[in-house]
Amino acid sequence: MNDSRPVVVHMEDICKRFGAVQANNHISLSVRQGTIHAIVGENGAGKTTLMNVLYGVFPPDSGTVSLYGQPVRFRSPAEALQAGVGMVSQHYALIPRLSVLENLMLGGEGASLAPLPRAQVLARAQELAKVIGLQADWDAPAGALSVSQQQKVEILKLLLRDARVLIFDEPTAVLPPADAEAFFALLHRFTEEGRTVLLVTHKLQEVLGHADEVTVLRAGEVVATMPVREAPGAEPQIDARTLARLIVGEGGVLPEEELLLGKRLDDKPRLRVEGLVVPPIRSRAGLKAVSFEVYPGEVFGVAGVDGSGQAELIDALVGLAPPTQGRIWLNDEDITCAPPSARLRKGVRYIAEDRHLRGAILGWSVAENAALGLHRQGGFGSALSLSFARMKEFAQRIIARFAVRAPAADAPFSALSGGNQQKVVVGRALMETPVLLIAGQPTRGLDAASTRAVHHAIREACRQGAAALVVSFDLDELLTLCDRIGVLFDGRLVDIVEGERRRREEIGALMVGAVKGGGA
Amino acid sequence: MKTSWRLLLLPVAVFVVAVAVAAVVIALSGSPPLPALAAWWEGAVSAPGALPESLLNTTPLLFTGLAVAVGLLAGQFNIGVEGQLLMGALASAWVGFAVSGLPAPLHALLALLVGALVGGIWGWIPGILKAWRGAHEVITTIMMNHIAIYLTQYLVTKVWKDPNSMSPQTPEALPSAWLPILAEGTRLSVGLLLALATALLLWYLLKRTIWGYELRAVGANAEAARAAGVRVSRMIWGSMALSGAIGGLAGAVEVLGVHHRYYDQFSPGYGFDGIAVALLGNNHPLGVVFAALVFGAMKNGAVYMQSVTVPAVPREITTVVQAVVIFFLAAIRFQRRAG
Repeated sequence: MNDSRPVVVHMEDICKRFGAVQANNHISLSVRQGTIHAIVGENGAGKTTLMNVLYGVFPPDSGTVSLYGQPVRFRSPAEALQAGVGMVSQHYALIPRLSVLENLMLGGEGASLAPLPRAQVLARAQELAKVIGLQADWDAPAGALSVSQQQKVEILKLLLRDARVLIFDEPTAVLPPADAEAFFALLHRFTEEGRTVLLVTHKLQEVLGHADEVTVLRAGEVVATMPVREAPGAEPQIDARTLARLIVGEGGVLPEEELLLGKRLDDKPRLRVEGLVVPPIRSRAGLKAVSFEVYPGEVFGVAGVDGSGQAELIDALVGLAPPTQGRIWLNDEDITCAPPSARLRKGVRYIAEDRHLRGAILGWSVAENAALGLHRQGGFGSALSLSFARMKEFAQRIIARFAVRAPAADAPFSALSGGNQQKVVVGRALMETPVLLIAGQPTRGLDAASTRAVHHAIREACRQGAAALVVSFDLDELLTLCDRIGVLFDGRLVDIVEGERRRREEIGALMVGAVKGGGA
Repeated sequence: MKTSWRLLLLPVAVFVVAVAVAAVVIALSGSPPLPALAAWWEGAVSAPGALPESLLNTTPLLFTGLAVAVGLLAGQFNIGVEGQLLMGALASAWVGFAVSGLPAPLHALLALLVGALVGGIWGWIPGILKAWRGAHEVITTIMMNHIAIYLTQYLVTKVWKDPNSMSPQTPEALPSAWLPILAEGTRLSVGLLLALATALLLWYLLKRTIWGYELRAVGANAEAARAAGVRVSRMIWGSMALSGAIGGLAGAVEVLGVHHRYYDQFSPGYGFDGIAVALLGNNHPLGVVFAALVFGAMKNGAVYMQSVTVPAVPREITTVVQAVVIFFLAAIRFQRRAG
């Protein structure tokens, strides 16, 4: 782009290494004021690392960062914020037990350590909340908010500190479609105000639909930087295929078009849920009398706005939350009250929706994590002779099959990028065909190629006789992957759509309670 | 490879810093630090008879260090090892003097077992309070320490007091309950071998058994462990009971191997020393062996140093080293978790 807009952020020759992994290798990046600059690349390409360098989370090994032409060296995110650079991470940084307002005040104490005056923060927050369309109870605990609302609170936090450069890492990964649209409208508003946006994303449609410029990273290096469109609102000059090709490189795997739907292998349900009631855990709704069946060979999707009861459904199915009413049958066996260990033994596998919280142990090696949950199944030796060699061997198989970018099977799990960590968690559940797979956002944070690999693995498992239940906030994912899609709204399964009715609009309407279904 | 070197290097560096701080304190107190350090080394290692005494000092620290380490690995900060040690010690002393008619190895074995059992129960109580009611183990174990201190005091002054003595102590244990001496002419008993065996066993348990794998999982991420089918509450009280049992063994070995009776305030705080030992040993059973050796030798050497330096350097200088070790390692661990 022949552009007169001044360069706001300039990163020059950035290198950053973690152990054996060269996460950033001589990366240079210029971002112009008032633009949305997308950063794309496969898992482990170095996107998040680069943004963390910019945000002062850790210093680069070499290279310089300048802001408005002035060299800067942020030693912490606090310093970056002070200079007007703010970031919303993949994992939100709100403190669940503090109120929304307290979260906003946190970190704004300044040099005096005295908290900002409450009334002043509240007044400004209310004003800004109107702008970004956040309606929240300021005194409610932040943990009670939905994901979209939490994201808005994070954004509000940056606006309160008047951040001029806003970094978003996978901002729409957990947003329902309508909220994602609203989010981008907000981004455009920011750029019109002269703010600058850095957008890390896997979704090429977001780049083509909204970004002004794009930088493609591969294996820690810049492959290309190019304009996406002449001016904001104009048609994109590049297409998805070109971009995808740049991301994966020569010989890489391109994203999927459509998966073949599965076939019911048996008329006897693998999983039967009847009148399930679960008190609220992470939503206001809980689960209210939900009934459905999942058959061998099929992928059953669960759609719904975040907080409609998905967490409660998953917890009840894997045995982490006891239902107060209702029954769960696995192959005609009542497992309503069975503990997780018993379900694991019966072949129930679980891909946790939040790998940091439940899916993995960050301080352990990849191999030890690969065995987690399967460690009592006998594949890793007996109770009194657990074999690390076999764990390593199993991890190596996951690494090979799912193309995990890991220095070694016994490398620390935390040395892997988020997407590669997710691949290990997914691979663990799918290396052997599960009887029943419960997957919470199995492709969260994965790039197109990895998403495709995971989808294929789930499909393959179902062809081999598994039954799968997939919860996702990405409607497109459910439409690609699932045979039938149950829609949760306010803790009820309002409808199950299949066949002709598997359409975006139909499900989208059900998700917000616009249609009264007859499901359960 | 690289990380394991760093794991090794860090405790060594911290220890060197701690000794340097101690040297400064010695200098400030008016003694020339270099001769004092030399005397310290001499008393710990090279003086005649120094080594066995150092190993004697090592034994209880090795037990208590392991007890603290196993708790920490399961995510439980067991500050109650001191209380578990006292209860275990008194229980084994009671078996030693009150049970008669058993042949030598059996009597000692029974006394050890009862000591471990009572210590284990003393650790299990705060464990079950945590697992079932969520009571924080740091608070409850401190409370249990106080109960143990006063309960043992009461028992040796009122109930099981040696009638032939003025001091608050139990009668002497029957020789059949004594632990055999390792080397002629020293006070070093087979207790040291028991401690080393415990370390080896623990290492195997933690690294090579499903129970140990699950214990470490609970300590590292209880929520992930639960999702992986681990019964977390069972693991919490189980690890606390194991920790307490090792603490109880520490007391039993001191009683049966060294004093042959329980007397009030026999422990100079071995249970608390265990915290520094576990930290310096990086919670690794074999690391704890080396840490216990270091602290045991230091404790022993300090006694000699106190006797030969002018003005005398008090042997309590070892607590300075311990404190600095805890200070630095706790700070570094905490920073790792935060960052």
